[in-house]
Amino acid sequence: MKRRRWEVRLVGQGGQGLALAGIILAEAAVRDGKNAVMNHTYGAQKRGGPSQADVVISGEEIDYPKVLDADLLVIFSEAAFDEYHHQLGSRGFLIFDNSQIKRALTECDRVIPIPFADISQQATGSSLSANMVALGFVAELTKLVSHRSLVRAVSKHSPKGSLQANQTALEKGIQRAQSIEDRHDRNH
Amino acid sequence: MSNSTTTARRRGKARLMQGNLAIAEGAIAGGLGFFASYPITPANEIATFLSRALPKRGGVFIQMEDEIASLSAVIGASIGGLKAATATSGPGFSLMQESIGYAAAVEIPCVIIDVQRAGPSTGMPGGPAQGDVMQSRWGTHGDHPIIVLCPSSVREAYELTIHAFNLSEQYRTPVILLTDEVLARMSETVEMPLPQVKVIGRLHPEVPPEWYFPYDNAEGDVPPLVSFGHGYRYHITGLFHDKSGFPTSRPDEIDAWQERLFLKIDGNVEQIARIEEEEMEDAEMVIVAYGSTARSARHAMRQARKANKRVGLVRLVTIWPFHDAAIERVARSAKRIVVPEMNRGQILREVERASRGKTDVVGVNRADGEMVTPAQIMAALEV
Repeated sequence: MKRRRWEVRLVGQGGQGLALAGIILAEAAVRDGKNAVMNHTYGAQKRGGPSQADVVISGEEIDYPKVLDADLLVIFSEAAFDEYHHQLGSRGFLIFDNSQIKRALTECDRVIPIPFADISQQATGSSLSANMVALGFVAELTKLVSHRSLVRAVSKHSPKGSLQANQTALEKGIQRAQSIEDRHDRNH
Repeated sequence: MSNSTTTARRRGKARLMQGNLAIAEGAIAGGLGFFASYPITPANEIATFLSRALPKRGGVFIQMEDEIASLSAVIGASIGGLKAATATSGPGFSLMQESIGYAAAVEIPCVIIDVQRAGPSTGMPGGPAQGDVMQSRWGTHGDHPIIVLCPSSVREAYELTIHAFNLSEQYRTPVILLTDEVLARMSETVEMPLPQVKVIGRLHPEVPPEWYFPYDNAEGDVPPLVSFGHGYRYHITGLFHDKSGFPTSRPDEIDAWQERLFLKIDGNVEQIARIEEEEMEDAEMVIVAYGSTARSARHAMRQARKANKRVGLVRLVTIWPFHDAAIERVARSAKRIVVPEMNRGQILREVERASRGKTDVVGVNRADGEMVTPAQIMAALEV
């Protein structure tokens, strides 16, 4: 890992599986021999309220456990978009689900719209695994965790009924990131 | 924090673990036999885990009707000989105050876990705070000693939970594990194996039942405690009591008992109060912190060190009894002491008192349900 401390913030609403995505990312990092912290904050509601999962990954000890200046800000809902998109710091990337969020935003190198929910819907017949699409996308884009650890962490933490869908969605997310990388390579 | 590592770790030598889970596992490792609580955010994962794990190990889990009943049941179970604990957060902790005083007065070991959330009142169930610091010391009526521990990492939460049970048996006192929402609900890397802590059991008397007195000052600061049902018949009451446990209003008996009650804690501050110092050899500015705020403090200290500022950290692992002597030592050499807390300034008062005016003491405070940030602490370090 080139950078000492990586900060990923996932924001959306309760029920979108952000805590699960966060815990899987952190677990994969631990399996890779890194230090990780996952922090999930949410409102009183089980579904529909605001939900935020912070993941910090480092090769060194993690002191402050929350996000200071997100490297990746991943947004899953319009409400969260309105509340969080301005938090993007000077160096971070903003990734948002443009199948859920209909906001006009100038696309630039640091703003990446990906239709996570639509990809999940097409691949699994349900938009519920949008979190896994995003997870695969983020992991592949950043190379923060190994594929092997990620797959194992998904297996460990997925509820039995959704493991197959989650695995499929994860791979779709990975493929999406690879296609972006390929395009990027061709353009440069 | 004890989970630190700077070298690459071999796969499989660590676990991602949640703070509340570490407390629950620590409780079992510490010998927990009885747990009673009432659901509350952000402490719920402790009860959820123990409701499954404890009965499998022959222990008892009860979800009580409220927090008053929870701690009462815990005290009863401890009198019956089991290591017993409850877990709650602000509103429930308020309800437990009377029974904390009862446990202190009748000298029955028990562990109360308070996962602090923002308050007062219902406050912010999902927001962290350190607003129960003074309540953990003085929340119950009447003068009494208490032991309160504050973990700063998930691994330490495990270790201190075992330690809390040990201290409660060793000193026949309620012990409060005062954690906070950040630490309780975050998951982090914990190096394996988990810390091995020797488990301390109850000190049994050497005398036969007819010679036994549960509050005999002649037996030292901590007279042995026999669990009910072992042939030793004695009385327990929250009224001031004599050595046999029966009520008394004789000032000489009350005075001698109170003297011993305080001496067993205040006379052992060096043994009980854990303090951890980092980068203190040449420190001109010192941050005194505890709980999850100590992590913000460590981040700030490291940033300051990178800028060649002589900043050190004193981490209070035990907040009560307060280690006056350690803080006074720091105050003698430091130009400034900065005390960050997720409250309006509670340990700040203690640091000011223990510093005896020897240095400048500055608080960094917030009670809005967010962590104190390293940047806030850095600002307070600027002269």
